[in-house]
Amino acid sequence: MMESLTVNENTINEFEIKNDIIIEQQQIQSKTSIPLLNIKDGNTTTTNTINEINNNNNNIETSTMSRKSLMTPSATYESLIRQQKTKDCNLTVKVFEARNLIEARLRKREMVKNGKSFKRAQNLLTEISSPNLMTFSDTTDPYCTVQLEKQKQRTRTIPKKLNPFWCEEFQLEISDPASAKLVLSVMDEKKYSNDEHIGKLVIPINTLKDQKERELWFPLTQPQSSKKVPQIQILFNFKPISLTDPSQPGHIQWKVLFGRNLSHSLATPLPSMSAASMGGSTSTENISNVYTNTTPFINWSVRSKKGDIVIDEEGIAWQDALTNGITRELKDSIECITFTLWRYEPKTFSDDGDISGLKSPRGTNSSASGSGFIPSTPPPSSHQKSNDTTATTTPSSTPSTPISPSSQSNNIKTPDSKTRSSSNASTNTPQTTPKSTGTSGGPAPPETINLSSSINSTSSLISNGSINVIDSSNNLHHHHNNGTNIMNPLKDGYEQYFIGQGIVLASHIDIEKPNDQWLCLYPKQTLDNKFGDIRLKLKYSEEVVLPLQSYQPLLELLQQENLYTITLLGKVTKHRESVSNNLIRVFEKTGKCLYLLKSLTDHEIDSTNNPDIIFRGNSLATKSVDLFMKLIGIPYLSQTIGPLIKKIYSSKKSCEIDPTKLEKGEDIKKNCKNLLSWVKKMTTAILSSVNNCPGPLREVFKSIQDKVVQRYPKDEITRYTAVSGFIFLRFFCPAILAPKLFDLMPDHPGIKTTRSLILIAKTLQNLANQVEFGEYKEDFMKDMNRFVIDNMENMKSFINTLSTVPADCPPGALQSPIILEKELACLYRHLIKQRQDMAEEMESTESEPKTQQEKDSFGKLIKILNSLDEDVQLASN
Amino acid sequence: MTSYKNNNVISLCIMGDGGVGKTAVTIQFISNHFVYYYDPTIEDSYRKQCLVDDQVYMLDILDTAGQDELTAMRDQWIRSCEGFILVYSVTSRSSFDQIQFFREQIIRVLDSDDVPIMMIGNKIDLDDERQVTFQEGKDLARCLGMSFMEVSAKNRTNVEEVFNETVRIVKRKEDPQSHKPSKDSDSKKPLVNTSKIIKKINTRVKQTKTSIC
Repeated sequence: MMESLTVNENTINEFEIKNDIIIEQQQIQSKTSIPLLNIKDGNTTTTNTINEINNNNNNIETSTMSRKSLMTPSATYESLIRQQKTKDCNLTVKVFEARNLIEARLRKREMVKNGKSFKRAQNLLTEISSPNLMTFSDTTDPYCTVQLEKQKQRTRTIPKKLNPFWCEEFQLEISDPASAKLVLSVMDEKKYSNDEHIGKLVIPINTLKDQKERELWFPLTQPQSSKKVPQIQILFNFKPISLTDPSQPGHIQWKVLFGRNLSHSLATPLPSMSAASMGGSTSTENISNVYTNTTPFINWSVRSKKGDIVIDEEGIAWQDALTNGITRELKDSIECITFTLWRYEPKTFSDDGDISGLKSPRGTNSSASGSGFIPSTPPPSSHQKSNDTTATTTPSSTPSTPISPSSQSNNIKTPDSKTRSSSNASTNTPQTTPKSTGTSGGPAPPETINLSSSINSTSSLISNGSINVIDSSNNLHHHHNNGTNIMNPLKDGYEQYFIGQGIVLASHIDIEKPNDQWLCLYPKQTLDNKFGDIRLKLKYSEEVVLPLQSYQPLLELLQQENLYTITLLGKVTKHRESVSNNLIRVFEKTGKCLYLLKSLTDHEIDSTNNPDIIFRGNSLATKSVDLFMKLIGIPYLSQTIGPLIKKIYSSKKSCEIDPTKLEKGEDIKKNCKNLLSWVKKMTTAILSSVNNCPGPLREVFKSIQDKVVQRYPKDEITRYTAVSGFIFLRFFCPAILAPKLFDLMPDHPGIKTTRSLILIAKTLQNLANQVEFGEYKEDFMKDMNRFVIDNMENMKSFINTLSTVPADCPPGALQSPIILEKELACLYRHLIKQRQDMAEEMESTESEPKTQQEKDSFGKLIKILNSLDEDVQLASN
Repeated sequence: MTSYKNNNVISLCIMGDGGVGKTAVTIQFISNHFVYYYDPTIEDSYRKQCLVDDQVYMLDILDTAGQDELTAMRDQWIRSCEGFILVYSVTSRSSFDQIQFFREQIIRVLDSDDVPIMMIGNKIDLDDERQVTFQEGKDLARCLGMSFMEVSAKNRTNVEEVFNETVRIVKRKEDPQSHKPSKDSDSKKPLVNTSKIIKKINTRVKQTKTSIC
């Protein structure tokens, strides 16, 4: 035993772990190693509750390892404080929906099995057995809370749905992006008791540093899981296959830069690495971490846009990924890359302190590991690989014949181990699955499976403390397989431990230049570890906001006559909504919004050949007018149709007039009357609201109508449809269809109400477009034609009046204050990102040739951007 | 009305930028008629029986709005349909560029790469105004794993073939599966084929286990 301790001490270079066994046996407590030159992170503190759980599950054979969050060096911390003064960090979280949530009944069963306190269990049992309460407690009414630093918000509750659809957006401010974590909890709302946790998701903000918009399904973890998410930082160099020339293959190259929360040795940051990590910059420095037996391995696979797996590799050593990286050729357009991290876990670990103190943070991962790696049946032959494998099993399905561990340091404990293992397997609780895992033989790398198995079998009679020829052989093979030059610790057997899995979308990797990303590794969802999924859209933005005077040249260039810069940016940008939003707000703040909108709409009218489809596509012009309507017109909208929408929500009458959609017993004529009644009320509300419309909006509509009349003087329809294409198609009708998104109602409408709103909106849009319902489009809508015909003149009159501007118009109120520096900082970022695309557009010979003025304007833009670049760099340091 | 087996009713969703001719294509297919006037669509649904490869199907076709402002409805459309037809106009480069965004939205909502999608370029009768070549459309469709055709709603060119081919794509996706898929999103394939990875690891675990015995 003394020799073993000596060996362990030699392999742990940078840590001092006190192995005072006597004290630890008397008082179990958590231990945290404090690396030199680092400040301890408060998040590593464990609570008494966790300690109690650990005590209950303490076992000398259980293998657990220490994990820490990243420690912030003091120098970097001070630098971060300075940065915060000039940086503006925001996160937009849109919670779309969740799926596969656990039913209330199943969650209760889990809680009882987990061995909660007697009082809690008693209450739950009472609740379960009561026939009245059963009715309530068995339904799931989910909502989602969004928490970041000290901000906490939540969605509405969707009753009785295991696949709720919320579609709510939250804006959050971040003061410390390096350490902030977004925590989402899906809860079950209870009427007579505390709300229950269903699942949880933690997203460290540093993994969103590339500021790209992400819309993904994320896996939920169990509510008690740790907030420390395993992460890896990967440097990519990516060239996609050529779209026009399939014979030119692309390539993908990646290399691991850093790992966090994987194991304690890998979490040790070096000062330079920490600085690079904080800044989110790309680092080509090779970091060589100390190797221990907990070094992870990486599986990775690449999925093409056609849905095929084109690359699927396993068992890449961490050291290889760290030093050499991986390069592969691509022959398909790829959709995403999946990284799965796992490692070999020793079956026993002699340090009691580490075991007791550090088990809880890995509860989820242990559960995933246990359920993921236990096979349901042994293969028919030890010399053949079987392809008929069940993918996922649970501990309870372990074969009835118990298999003893391949080695035991103390023979006396063997019977206890068997008994405990059997007991744990039967209870099937997440916290105890590591023991089930521990009972299986450690898997060896495939290349040496036979020899290693033989060694394990032979050494089952030899204690860990012995060193002999066979152990040397075993050690030699491990050395060879891991590709390292460091002598491995002497361990008899290992098992595979699943750390986590992460996905990188190809669209988030910059093309043909090195870029690094932080990747969250989430546990694999299995039968025993499934808490549902949640779909989110995340948009993190971090802007260095300079003083307004720094942006003055850019502002002047944007506002120059003919708007060359804006036109150019509008042609090439893929983020039309964001660019339009920033432009509208900048020009509104400087009092030139009407000029901007007039220029954009005039340009659009001039460049559209077919008058029928003016403003029907999506462009910078349509998006800008839409955002302007939303910027100053929401009160007008709410005042005009808000009350009527409320009535429609609470009405029980059906408006369905499609014969194929009628329910049994419904009278189509009666429904038609209902629909007609609502349409009349809605039309009256809108057509009588013209005096409440904000003056600036009417200025825009007047400008559009004047331009159309000028271009199509003989056209009697387009002068109306061009305006109605905004005020109805993009303002009133979307608000009628989705009132919640315009803050008219707090909830999404039900199915019947949705259908009523659709039919009302369709009738209104036909009226606005001066078109009757014909025999070719939905025939059943013909019954509305009399109303449409009768009101066409009223609609024309409304649009004409809307397109004139009396002196006493209301001005319109801003929905939120505009900070000019922020908006210009965002525009600067858009321009920087699109600089290359704009240059290509300027040199392109496909589009019409550029005038000298346009070239001069672009030249100025480049100079201004370079100047701002320098200012931003200075402010960042 | 004749009742159909469940697997013979196919719901299709037609999506694309505004003004590219989604409704014109649909009505040409349903009624053999080209609508000359423009009337923006909010959400229309049609039904038509058609014969594809000696099999009778009832198509439930959802014609959708192209304007971004009506995006809120898209999630509902996507979740209620089995196959998708993405339309762009060969006379509009920007509508072609939008195809990728529509496809990405479908994939994100359904969380699956294995979605039956047909991509069509409309208005080929306006060849003198063409901005997108046939080869460009074909290349993009191949890269994204979609089928591709060019059509003219005005001349009824390829209109019938588009819907027939879409039905074939939907059936081809369904048949290889061992179980009949339900319409719920729960049964959709996961975005990443992790079961394959886990299976390989489990195989090696089993072999080691056996050899120890």
